[in-house]
Amino acid sequence: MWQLEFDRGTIRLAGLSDTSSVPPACRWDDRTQTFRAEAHHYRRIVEDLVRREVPYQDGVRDWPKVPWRRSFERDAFDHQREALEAWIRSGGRGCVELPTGSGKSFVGVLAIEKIQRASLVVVPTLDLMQQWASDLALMFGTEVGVIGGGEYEVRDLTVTTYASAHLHVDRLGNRFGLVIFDECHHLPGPSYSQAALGAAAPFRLGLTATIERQDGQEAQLETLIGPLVYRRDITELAGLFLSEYETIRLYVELEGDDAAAYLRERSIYRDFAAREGISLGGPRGWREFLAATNRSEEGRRAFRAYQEQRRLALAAPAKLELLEQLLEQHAGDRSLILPNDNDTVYEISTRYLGPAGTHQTKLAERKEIIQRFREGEYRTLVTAKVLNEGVDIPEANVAIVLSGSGTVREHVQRLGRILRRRAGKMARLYEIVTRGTGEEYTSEKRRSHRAYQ
Amino acid sequence: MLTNDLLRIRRGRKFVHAEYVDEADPDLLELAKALIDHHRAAIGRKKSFLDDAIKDLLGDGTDFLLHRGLARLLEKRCRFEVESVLPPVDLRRTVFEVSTTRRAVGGGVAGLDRTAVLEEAAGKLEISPEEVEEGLYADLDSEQILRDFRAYSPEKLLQRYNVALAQTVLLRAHQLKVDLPKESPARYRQIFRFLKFYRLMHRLDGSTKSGYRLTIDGPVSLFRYSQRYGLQMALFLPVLLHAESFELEATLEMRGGKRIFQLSAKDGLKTHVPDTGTYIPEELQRFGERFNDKIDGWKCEPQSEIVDLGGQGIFIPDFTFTEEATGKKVWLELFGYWKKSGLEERLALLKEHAPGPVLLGLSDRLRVDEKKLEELPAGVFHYRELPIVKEVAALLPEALERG
Repeated sequence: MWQLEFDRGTIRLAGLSDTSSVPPACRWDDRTQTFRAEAHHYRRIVEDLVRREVPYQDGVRDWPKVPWRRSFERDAFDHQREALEAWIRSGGRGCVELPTGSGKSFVGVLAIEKIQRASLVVVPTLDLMQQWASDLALMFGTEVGVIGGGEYEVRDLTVTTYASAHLHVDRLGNRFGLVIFDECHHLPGPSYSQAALGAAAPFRLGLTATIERQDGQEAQLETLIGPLVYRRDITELAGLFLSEYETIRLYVELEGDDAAAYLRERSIYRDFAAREGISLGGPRGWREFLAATNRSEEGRRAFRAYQEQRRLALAAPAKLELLEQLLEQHAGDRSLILPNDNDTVYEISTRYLGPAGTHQTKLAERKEIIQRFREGEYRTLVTAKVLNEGVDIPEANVAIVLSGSGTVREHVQRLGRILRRRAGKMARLYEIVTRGTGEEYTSEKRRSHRAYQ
Repeated sequence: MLTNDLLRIRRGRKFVHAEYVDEADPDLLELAKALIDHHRAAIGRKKSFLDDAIKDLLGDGTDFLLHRGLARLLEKRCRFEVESVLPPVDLRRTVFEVSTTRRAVGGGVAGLDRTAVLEEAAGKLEISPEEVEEGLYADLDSEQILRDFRAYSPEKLLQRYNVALAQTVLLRAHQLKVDLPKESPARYRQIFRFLKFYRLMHRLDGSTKSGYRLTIDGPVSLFRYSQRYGLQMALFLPVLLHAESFELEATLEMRGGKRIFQLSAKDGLKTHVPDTGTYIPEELQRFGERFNDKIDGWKCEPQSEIVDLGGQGIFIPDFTFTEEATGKKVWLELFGYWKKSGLEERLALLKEHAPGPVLLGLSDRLRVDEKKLEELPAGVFHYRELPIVKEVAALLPEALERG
């Protein structure tokens, strides 16, 4: 009789009597004198043993069946129902791609209700963790555990972050029958993927707005979660779900001393690169530049010059003047202000005495600030990166991007946040760009995505 | 331990070398002293003040990785505190409420009257507007006040740095091979205890004569190169540094492929963790001599081989007894600190994996929990200060019979 045990992200198979009955994906481990497999093969192993009628004792499965019932009715949209059906047809393993704001998380709720097992939801940020936890608590009328941001509480419904999940999978990998990976494009990669590899959960659901990763690792998702089972494009759903929006780009100029300083610092680092024979536009240019700046005091100076000119372009004082005008113009609206770095977040917050959130903001305060912003007790919110992904603030109708790093995904998600469906809402996205600097290029790149067209 | 961005290594095709510092270099000792003094001088000041002071001290030099590494180790010895009349989060709530209301009532312009907002908030909180403004973000890392600094000596800081550097390299390790040619049983036990504590797995090869080789990794290592045990390996290193002689070889996953990192007792790294649990009373060491004096027909030898217990532990007998007539052996293991649950686990392991009869001696003095064993299993006995030679000798024949 085989004995299956969960052992720190793997499954140990002891009690071998006949080597011909070794299931797939198992290897001999002479350290423990047992067979062993990675935990994500649990389903394959059990299916194989059952099919061949090999007797076994299952010490892995530590997830209770729970009769999850939604505490109130809410009709699913066609695309949500179709997504769930496609996922079930694929055996409860697979990824669903839907645009931000189209109700991805409700597909997750439907999956939890369908599978009826203890379930874990993995999300990229603490804000999303908080949001899922309160949504699930409301939806199922139950207490929800959270792991992350200094909290550790495991329940039959638990929400955690990617950063925590892979650290705790050794202990919790056999505790949940269903794992939902929200914004699952985060999962591939040597560390985070452990959260999927070390889990025994036979049912897995990936949710994302943009499955394509720049490094092409999406193929890994098929192993870690399952195949892409359903996808709808933003253009197929726009109008139906997303509020109308417009983007407006505004330019500011660097003035006086700043303009001179910008040009000076810029030429210091560019001259240095030229002398070192580095082409900054080339594919390896940036890495070569970084390496060269480590080798001499002159290089250190060039690196400082690079940082300084970037800071000048990003934080041009004229941007704050323009921001002030926009805030006045939109005094009756709910505005998100999105600078590029935390120093600017605090500068704006201190200057205008308005609420702000960064990675340094503790969980409780973060929750309170977002809550108050949604209820209209606060009408502005300054934040850099923390709230970037998927956090639900449908009440916001103005976003002011003070500068950005230019990766496509970040801006689709930023847009998504102020584009949530709401009757009669006309959302507006401002981009404030410093003319004649590297920022202009970044902004062009950002606009090439289809969500902006 | 340092963060990855502060790692200083030289990469070869096959090997990676850590750039240790010379712990006796007078210039470095002077720099270490200056850094320590800057920390001392910053007690009572903001963290941003300390950071600026360090930045000025270090300048644009190319050794910035080393300097920042030293500063990082000192930062871990600092305790920062928030200084504000009221908790900053309460100040913020009131200020943001006031500013939102004013903005809504008076339109944009009035809302931006900072002085008025601060005064109104101060009135509500019954403190001064200055206290409001100073405390508003006093809980940010950079704004916190350095209250306490547990200084190292400059020498200690450099020693600590070298160990931290090796530990940081090990963060990328997916396997360690450690050769331990000759250590005391107490040392071996300490090493294995910590391997277990850090949830690492091992494979044990060798013998007392040839020395032992440990291969250390984790459950998943059977399937893929995984750096997930790197942190546990790095934490284990300071324990290993207590060994008299060791050779360590780590396989690392780096950009550009696999590399080897070597470390041995000859590198002279000085561990900072206390050497715990290896104390053996001198009387115990004389137990063997007394046994051989008093007991005929048996020969007692201290400290023999290591027996691997199915990867889940090891068995290092304190004494081996050989029956002179037959050459048959009985082993004795003395259990220092013990708990009932631990003992039961131990007995089960020994039953399955021990190569022959084993006696277990339990120290009464060192029992950790209050649970007693209702009935002593065969071969298990209690002792107070030291095992009594005659009692042990009486247990030997029946142990042989049990097999």
